Amino acid sequence: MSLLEVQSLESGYKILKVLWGIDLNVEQKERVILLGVNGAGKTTLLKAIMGLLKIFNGKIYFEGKDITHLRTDKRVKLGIAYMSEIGIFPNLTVDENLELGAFFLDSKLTHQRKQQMYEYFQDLLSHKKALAGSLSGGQRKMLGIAKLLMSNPKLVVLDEPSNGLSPKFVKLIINILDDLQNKEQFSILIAEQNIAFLDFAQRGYVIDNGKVVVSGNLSDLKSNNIVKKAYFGIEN
Amino acid sequence: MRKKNIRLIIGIILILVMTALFALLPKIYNNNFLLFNIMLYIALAEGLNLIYGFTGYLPFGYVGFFGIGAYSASLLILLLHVGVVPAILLGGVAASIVGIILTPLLRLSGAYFAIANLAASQAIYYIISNPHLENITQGPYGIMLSSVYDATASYNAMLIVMFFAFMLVLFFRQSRFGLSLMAIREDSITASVAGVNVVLARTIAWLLSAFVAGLCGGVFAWYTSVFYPETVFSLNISIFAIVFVLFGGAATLIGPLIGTVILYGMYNFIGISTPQYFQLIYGLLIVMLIMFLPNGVVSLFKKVKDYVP
Ligand SMILES: Nc1ncnc2c1ncn2[C@@H]1O[C@H](COP(=O)(O)OP(=O)(O)OP(=O)(O)O)[C@@H](O)[C@H]1O
Ligand SMILES: [Mg+2]
Repeated sequence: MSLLEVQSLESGYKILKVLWGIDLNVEQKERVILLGVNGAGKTTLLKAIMGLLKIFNGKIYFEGKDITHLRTDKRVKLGIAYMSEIGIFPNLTVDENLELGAFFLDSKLTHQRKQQMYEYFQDLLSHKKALAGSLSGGQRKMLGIAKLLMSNPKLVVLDEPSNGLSPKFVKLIINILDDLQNKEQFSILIAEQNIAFLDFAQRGYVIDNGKVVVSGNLSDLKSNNIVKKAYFGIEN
Repeated sequence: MRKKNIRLIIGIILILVMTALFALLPKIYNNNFLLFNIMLYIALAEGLNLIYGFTGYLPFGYVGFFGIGAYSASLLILLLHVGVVPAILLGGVAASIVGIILTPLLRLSGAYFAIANLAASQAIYYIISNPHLENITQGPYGIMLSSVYDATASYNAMLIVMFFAFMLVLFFRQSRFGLSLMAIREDSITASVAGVNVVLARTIAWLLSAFVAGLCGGVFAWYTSVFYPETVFSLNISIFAIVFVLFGGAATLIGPLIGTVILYGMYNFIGISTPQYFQLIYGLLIVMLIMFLPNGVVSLFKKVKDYVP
């Protein structure tokens, strides 16, 4: 049984269909990347998985349980954590942001997880009382990731964490995710355009116009012509 | 953890001091009516703070809940001979029930919510003041509650309602529930993916806010004992409460308190004797405030100390 299984998913905005029958799965402890050009439907797919959009057709299962029409906060409680491109509350403090990351845990567990996160992200500790909006772009992403992991999720869903970061910071984010995934053993589904993430993943999907056009493990993806053209072609 | 407790204690002390102050003031200052009205507006401002300060919805029709509370309590006393205190509590419940009926409005955002809420309060006003309902609501002829009039008891009831409104705001301010509301106000999607039940949390804030206004209405009816539909559905009540909250600073305990004391004080000392100057000063003050202190008077304190009760 897959941790996450998406079957023939159709979804979109109001009456505009964006996803035209997506099949995707994520296994325990697996790292899966979602590639696709701007407007391909990556964010839409992640939002649909989180219950933020209406599902027109198809099914979503998490640990075998049908969550197709489950409310967002209940999905989060089942163990799916999501970081959107924004991901944090700029007008709340770093500490409050973390607290909200584990909103449904009891206060003792929250406290423990917070200490753990401050240990992972020393930089956040020194900005504990600062408003999240006053952090640098890189620090905000760190906070977003820490907030995400607060609830001890089984599946972490990330929407373009590299967005707006310098190559150096992108490397740092990848290292942190790599390290934390080894420690905490969650699965990752990550939407990215940055090719630097390709080696981080074990398997991937390329979507275009709301359909999966290529899927497979890393070497399949790298040798695929569509991927080559779309990603490696524009690289230099 | 520690810090949280200290903040809680500071808040409670502040509330107890304010309550004791208004309990003792009638003994040394004989304008009981003014003291009552200040408490009433503090409670209304704090009640409005629950929904506006913590969720960002600006309820222009807030007075609707006040009017519902006043009428429900009065009619329960007059028609069903319910005791005064239970009638006032049921007035609060009635306001919350109207709040439940109006929950779909929470799907609207910004100005649309404010306008729809205003329209709803006017609709309630027209229903209650309709001459065809004279047998039940007395229509436009108003309510006379003189049979249960008790100046001291109703003053004390207001004191308790003010205390209750303060405690609710303190709870919102210090609890994880309050934090979840502030997260929703910032960004409801990010809040929902943090595991917050957005609809439920908003609805609770909305109904508690309505409940406070309903209680205020019931106590006001008891204290004044004679009133008309236009008295308890006057749009000025909404506007006063909103301006007091904005002036003092929303989402804090002391903001609405400061706003009410300063502005309602001014209104009474210069507004009634020389209304022409008052309008001018009031207007200027509000314009200046929005330009220079958009987060209210408390934002001045926040420059010195990062936490203001
Ligand atoms: N809120 C919205 N309302 C209507 N249509 C939308 C909305 N958001 C996205 N779309 C449309 O859905 C399609 C897919 O957008 P989506 O945001 O999923 O792309 P993406 O793959 O995440 O792109 P990017 O790499 O730019 O983030 C686009 O055609 C876009 O115009
Ligand atoms: Mg996107």
